Amino acid sequence: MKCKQCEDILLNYNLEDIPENIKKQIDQHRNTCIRCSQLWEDNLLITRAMQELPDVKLDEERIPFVHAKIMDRVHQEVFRQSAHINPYRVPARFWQTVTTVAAALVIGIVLGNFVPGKPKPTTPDLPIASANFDELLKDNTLNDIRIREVNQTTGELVITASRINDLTLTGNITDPEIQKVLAYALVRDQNPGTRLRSVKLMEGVTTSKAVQQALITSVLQDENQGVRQRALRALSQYSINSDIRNAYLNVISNDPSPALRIEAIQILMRDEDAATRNAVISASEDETNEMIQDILKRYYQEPGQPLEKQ
Amino acid sequence: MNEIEIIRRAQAGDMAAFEQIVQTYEKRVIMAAMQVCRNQQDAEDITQDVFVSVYRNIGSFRFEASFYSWIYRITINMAFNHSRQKKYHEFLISEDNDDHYYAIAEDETTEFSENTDFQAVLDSVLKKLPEKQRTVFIMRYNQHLKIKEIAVILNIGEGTVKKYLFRAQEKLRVLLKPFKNQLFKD
Repeated sequence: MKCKQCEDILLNYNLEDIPENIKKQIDQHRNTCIRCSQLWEDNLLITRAMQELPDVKLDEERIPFVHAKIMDRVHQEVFRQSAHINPYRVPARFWQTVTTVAAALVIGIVLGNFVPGKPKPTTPDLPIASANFDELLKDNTLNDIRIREVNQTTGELVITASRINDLTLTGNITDPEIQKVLAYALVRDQNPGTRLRSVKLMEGVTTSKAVQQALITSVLQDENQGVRQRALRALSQYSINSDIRNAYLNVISNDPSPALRIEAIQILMRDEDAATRNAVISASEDETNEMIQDILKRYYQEPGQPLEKQ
Repeated sequence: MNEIEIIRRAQAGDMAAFEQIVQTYEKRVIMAAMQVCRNQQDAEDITQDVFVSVYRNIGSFRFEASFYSWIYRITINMAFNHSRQKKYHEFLISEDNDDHYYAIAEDETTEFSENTDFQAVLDSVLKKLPEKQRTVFIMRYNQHLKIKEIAVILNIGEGTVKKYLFRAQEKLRVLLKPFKNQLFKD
């Protein structure tokens, strides 16, 4: 055997995995080669030492929490990416056309052949005091809602939207009327980024019925998992009533995301009422996810007893 | 639905498919990260970064290697970065300062006895290896990967892998010398 072969074997294989006939060849080679002999000794020593090394022990109970954190981070990433997509991006050729038309207009004005039309009214700022929010929201015609500015310290924010004309609404997150607009945006707006910003802003609002209803609707119906997850967390700040409990149970039974189902179970686990316990067990009857089954067993199953309603 | 189909769906933006991928691999990723950083809290942070990176880059996965080896490579690189960010280098000894290892072994205060907690010493010795040597060493002796596999995962030459391995072995040989009798007493 040559040094190169011996080295390759010793570097690639554990000593116990080397077949006996190869071991004999290595032994013969070691008698004549100090370097390979040293390599063999090192390998033997290190292999024994590594067998003594304590295994790093994984606390498996942490995995559901890690899972939820991962999915939360991934959803943030989804929104970060969607925020970079400019919905107003126009093709380059558009600017060519605009330039040509602008040049034609300038020439027209200069030549006196162009009669300017009635100037379009500028977008009015609609202060909170003068905004009739019920009127704005009643026909569900408010669309393209954008939360433009938020002052995290004072809660002041600026929202733009369009209905017949473009609107700019200014107000404070503590104002019930602004909360209604955000609730409306969460339930109605097409843009998941807007819905996510709305739900994040509403996380501190715990008294509004409109917000609570919007959060429940979002938890149950929003197509975007990230929005549903944030809505679920925002909803957890409210004290549990029958509507909220039913929403959680619905998530446990029907939501496609295990991360959301786990969060809903964990929220309801805080309620030690036997009726809640039974409802959670019923809602999870068809649960196939092993991780969730483990969580339920750990929390609800009496030692030595099957997991069942009391 | 098989794995390829799940990956393709995730590549097309299907979040449910992506979550399935997370569920399939999260435990293995945490374990792999723990082998490097030997601390569950750090491993959990690394695991989150790994899956964000997987999400960002899943479109570039071309099915040329196994999906896990692709994720494993990201994990190892993330673990490197995490080590750097946590300023683990304060505990690591630069490759230019190898004499320190010999000094530890020759130091009178490092006279190990039967009562010395060998496992704790070995654990701390591994942590003190420069990160590349430590990672290669762990991949070889703890995860039982072959030189070629390590080279592919770390995107370095096989010769470089061997170099790191030899250096790690050399240091460990010196440090483990006092334990030789203890290790072979059976």
